[in-house]
Amino acid sequence: MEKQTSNTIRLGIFVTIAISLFIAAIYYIGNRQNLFGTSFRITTVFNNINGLQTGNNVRYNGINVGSVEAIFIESDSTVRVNLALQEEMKNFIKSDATATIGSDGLVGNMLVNINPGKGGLLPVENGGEIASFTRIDPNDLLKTLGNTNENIAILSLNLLEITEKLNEGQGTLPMLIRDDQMAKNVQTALLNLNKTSQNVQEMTRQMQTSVESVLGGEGMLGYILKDTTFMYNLAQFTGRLDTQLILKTEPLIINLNQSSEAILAASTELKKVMETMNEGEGTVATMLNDTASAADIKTILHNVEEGTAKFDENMEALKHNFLFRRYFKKQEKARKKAAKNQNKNEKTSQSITYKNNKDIL
Amino acid sequence: MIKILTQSTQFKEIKDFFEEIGQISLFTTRFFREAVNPPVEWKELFRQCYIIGNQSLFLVTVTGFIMGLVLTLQVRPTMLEFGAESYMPSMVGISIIREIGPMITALICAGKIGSSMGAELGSMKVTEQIDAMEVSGTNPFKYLVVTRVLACTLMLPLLVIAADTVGLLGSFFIEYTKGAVTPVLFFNKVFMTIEFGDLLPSTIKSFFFGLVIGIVGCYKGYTSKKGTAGVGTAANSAVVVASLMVFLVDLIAVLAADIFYDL
Repeated sequence: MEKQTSNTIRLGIFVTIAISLFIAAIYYIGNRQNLFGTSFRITTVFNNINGLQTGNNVRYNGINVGSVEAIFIESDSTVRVNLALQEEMKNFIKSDATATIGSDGLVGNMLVNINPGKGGLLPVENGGEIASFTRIDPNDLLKTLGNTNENIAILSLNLLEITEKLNEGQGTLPMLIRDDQMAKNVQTALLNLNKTSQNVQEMTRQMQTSVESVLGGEGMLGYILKDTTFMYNLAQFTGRLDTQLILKTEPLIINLNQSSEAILAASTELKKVMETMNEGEGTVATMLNDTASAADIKTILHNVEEGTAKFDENMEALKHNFLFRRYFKKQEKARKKAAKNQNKNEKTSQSITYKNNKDIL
Repeated sequence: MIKILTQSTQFKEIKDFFEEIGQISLFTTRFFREAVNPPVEWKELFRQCYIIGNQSLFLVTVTGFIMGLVLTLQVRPTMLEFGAESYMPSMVGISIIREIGPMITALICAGKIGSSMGAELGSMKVTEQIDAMEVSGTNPFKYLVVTRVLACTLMLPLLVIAADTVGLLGSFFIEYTKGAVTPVLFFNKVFMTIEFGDLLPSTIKSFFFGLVIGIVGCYKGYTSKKGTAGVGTAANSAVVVASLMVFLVDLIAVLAADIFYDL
């Protein structure tokens, strides 16, 4: 009898533990699906739910906060999804929050992600609706990827052609790459640029030093900038200079004015003379305007030129005449003698200068 | 002539097969009729529950623990190859709770309990103890069969829960020693994936496993013939048929669960 009671107690313990484990399992699973405890419900509408099922998780900022309670087709292009969320999340989900459908890992279950709003708005109410954002369909993604792959294939072909041309040495770029002289020039240019930049740097440093010393009151410029009395004196000097300038230049300007009036009168007279000449009055005007007179003057000048040429011939003939030949030879001899004396004097002066320089050294 | 004999033997086997199915059906109907009619032999029921539940617990938990270990060790390298180590608790949890736990427990019970029932009732039958009970005014079916089948039906789901729990612990043991997973994370991941569609069908089918094992074991023992040799035959056939019936019930349970839970 005692043994039977003991066995019954053992049986009770086993049954209790087993049923407790079963209840615990049901509680954990049910708790995940918000079957126990208070919850609040929101709804959202998607165009495509990508295989979402009732009971899938709902996440807010990556935390599981509820599950999908119901899914039903609202119209031919929209699907309404009801979400059951934990009561404590009510204050965090604002009315501008958005729902998206994602997946738990690459091959995991589908789930609804609630993205928080920008804040500042009121929390969504029980039974309220939030906006949704339909994620990119994997088929569309693959389609885009296919197009991208085709473009990459074309690009690689083009790149291959360019590389082949480069290797064959066609075009300007291979020449630039292969030309050693070009490379040396570039290197030299870079070295020069480096030197220039160093010089500029040095110059800048010196300028900075100069500016600092000027600002510190050193030198003439610094004295001018720093000394306040100088500016006062300069202002006084400028004032006096203005007065003197006005006093001295005033008569000059008056004379200049008078001269300009006289020039104006003279130019008026000249204008009248010119007009008279243009009208053909007087001797000069006749000479200028009369073409017959001009032809006469031209003939006279021609005759004078011919007369002069003939006079030169006569004079040359006189040089060779026995009566005058002696006189011309004497003159030639005297001219050569004078030139010789002049050369001699120049050489003497040069030797004296050389001797003096040697003495000095 | 031989052909005719063969044909007649086959015909007899087929006839015996259908006759046995009919007998089991009648036996089952009688069980339900007797089970719902009072009085209930509570003391005997608890005794059978202790024998079936408590005395099978060690065997079932050890087997479940080893199954958890082996399953994790076998699957882990493949999951590592795919970089899906983090899915191990979910995968093992679903495997054990949906199928491995109930099936291993049912097969062990079919071997241990089915054979013991067949042998015990068979020996009582051949020694005419059952007839003596009838003579003394005790309903042997209610006392012997109903209590055993009910105890088996009630205890098997509890044994399955125990096997599931210990199996998950075995899996955790490997994950803890080979990976870097904490107990909280492991069981959190297990219950993150498991849904009512996994737990409830497996629990419900465990009741049917228990019912089938109890019915087959009791039937084979209760209807054993041919003296002491029939006891061995009853125990042997009880194990074989019960195991076969367990697989059959499992198939029906999975098909039914597929309809209700869209697995």
